[in-house]
Amino acid sequence: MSDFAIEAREARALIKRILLEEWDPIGVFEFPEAQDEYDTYVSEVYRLLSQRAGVCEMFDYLWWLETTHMGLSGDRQKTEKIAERLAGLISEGITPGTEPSASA
Amino acid sequence: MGDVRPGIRGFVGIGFDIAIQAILVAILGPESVASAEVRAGGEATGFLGHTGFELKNLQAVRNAPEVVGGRSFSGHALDQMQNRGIMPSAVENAIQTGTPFAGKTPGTVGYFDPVNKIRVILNSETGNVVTVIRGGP
Repeated sequence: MSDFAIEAREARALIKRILLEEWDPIGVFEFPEAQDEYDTYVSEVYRLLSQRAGVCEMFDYLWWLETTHMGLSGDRQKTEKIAERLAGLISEGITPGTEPSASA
Repeated sequence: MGDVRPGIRGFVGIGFDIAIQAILVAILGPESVASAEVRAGGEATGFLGHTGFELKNLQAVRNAPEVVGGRSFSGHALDQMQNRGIMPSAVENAIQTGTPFAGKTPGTVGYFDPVNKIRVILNSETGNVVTVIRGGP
């Protein structure tokens, strides 16, 4: 497996963990059967990071998920913090990018 | 069947799809099958998971919010019901006859159906179904 693939896998695992353990807007983290509850959204967060999306763009996506797609009333402050946390992964060295073969 | 709404289309005529899906997953692996569906841009609503064969939660958003049988379901809830093979009637039964429990997030309430062993999480303000999960509280 290439370094890129390993890094991408680690970045996705970290995003999954943040969505489930830190964001968890529905409150399902403690249910063993719901550990994949937000997995669907990992790819889009990863794509946003790949495109160097800012906090606002990340927040817009998370807020749409929380209030429109999940139908929750929403916790704006918490979601703003998570958007900052996710957007900050780039500065922490978690820098997903375009797969080399795809850009060649 | 002409009046079937898009959000519940996945609950109709699923036996053949499940058999095909099971064969493809056995041969190619679940990630290959899911990514192939996405690449093909195909309708993802023809598959339905079930206990012991829950669909991998890898596809992008599939369903929009919808009212089924007078009950409002979020798009997320419909996606997860398809992944986990849970019918709208089982969800309604859990809400009507199940044991309520406090949601872990403010503004939510849960119902546990000990017969079907499912948990339903509702938005307590709107009554909207937020998600459905197998297992007990």
